Amino acid sequence: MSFTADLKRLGDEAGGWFAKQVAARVPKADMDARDPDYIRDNLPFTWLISSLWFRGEVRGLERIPADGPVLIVGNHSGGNVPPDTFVFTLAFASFFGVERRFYQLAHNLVVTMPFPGAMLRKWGTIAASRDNAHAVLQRGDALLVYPGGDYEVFRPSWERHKVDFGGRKGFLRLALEERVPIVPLVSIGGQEAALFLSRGEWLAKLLRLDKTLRLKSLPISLALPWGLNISDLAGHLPLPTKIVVEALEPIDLHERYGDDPDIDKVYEDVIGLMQDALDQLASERKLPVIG
Amino acid sequence: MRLSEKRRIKADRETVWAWVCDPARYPEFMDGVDRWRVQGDHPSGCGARWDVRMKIGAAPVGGIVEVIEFEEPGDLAWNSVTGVTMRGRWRLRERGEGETEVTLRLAYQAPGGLMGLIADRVAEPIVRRSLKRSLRNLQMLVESRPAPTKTEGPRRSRAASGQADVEPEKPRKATKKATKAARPAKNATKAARPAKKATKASGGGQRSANAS
Repeated sequence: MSFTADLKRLGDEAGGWFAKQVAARVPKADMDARDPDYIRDNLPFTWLISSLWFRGEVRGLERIPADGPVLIVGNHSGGNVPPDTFVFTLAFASFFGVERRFYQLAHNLVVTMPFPGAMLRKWGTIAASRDNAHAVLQRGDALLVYPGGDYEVFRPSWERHKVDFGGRKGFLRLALEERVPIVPLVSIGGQEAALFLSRGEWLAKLLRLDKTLRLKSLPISLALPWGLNISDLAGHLPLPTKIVVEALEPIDLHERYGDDPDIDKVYEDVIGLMQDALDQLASERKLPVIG
Repeated sequence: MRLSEKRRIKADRETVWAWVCDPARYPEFMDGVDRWRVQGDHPSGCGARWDVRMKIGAAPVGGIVEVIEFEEPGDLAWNSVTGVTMRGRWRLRERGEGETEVTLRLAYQAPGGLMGLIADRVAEPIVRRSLKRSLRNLQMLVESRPAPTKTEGPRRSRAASGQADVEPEKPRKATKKATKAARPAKNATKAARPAKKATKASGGGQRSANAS
């Protein structure tokens, strides 16, 4: 009995150490890592994948304010290989030019890993943190956030047409504090790139990963080329699912809700707006994957 | 990649020139235009800059282009300043009485070495189709009347001339375009609605002709 307790304690300590190591390696955003020439050189590859594999279609780019700081808020799909980001980043870089500074917030782990972290940093991907987000907007740049993040991308595939930020409202406070407009961005198709079965919160608990590694979930999916894919840490080959992304009209939170709005109400409004738009896209979609 | 498309238009050079020298008219006839906007103070002429995006595959491709040759009423050429490396040219040449041969040339090169070359190849048929459609649209608009309105135009000219070379659009695409056009503020689809009706009209005409 005491042996198991010791083992548990040891595991927790090791996990704590690991978590600290990761935290220590989270880079403070180096905005200069973004490299417009690198992006330009890689647009053709991105275009090929987006056009041929995902048959990407991006609407409403003209609704995004042409200059100045803007917070683009998207729903997120597709596990650790999210096609919606791929398709939208290409469209943004083509439409506004690689000269417009555009950053994306991503999970610390993604940015820290040598692959694809080093690559993504050149695209303008930075670790998700309050400081980094404020810094980008204060410079007057465009910022893409996926509030649902790792929680939303691993929702089961049968909830594919659901906007699910899991109650995360930080993006609203960010926009309010920086007084920047938000542009809701809805995308469809990403959750059909694999068959996502479960977030696996129970599995993470069972293996005590929530305590040791602070991993609240251990997602389970059926994906190429692995078959049964647990955690998706190594990524997967996404199915050639049709991706449609639409930017909605910008929202000036101060103008619409006053200077001290009820965050919960604003949150419900924004989610509702995005859900309506996603429902519209869903009604156009005839078949999974094929589109 | 170098592409060149020709088309004869029943109008004199000056009439055609009035269309191609005016950036404001490009969204009406250029196929897949997301944006064709003037940058700076000079709308046209040598040194004018246009902010240009065409829908090619999954992306709005283009950049800022600068007009580098402006020889009224025969030659207009532009070169890209930002975005994909691109060079384009209009050549208008008189062919017989009141007919103009219109050539639209586009040379482009995507960045990124090998991937760029592959992307150029893959994009070629899309761009070529786009150029052809643009010339066709231009012909319809020019031949119908010099100053078209947006609500009608392609429709009347197609029905009147009874052109058979109009490719019927795929029905799925057509419905999509229709839903798009029903939404507000869609610059690129303004021209799509009458075009679709025109396709229907000409298709219907053919069918009835076959029946009789």
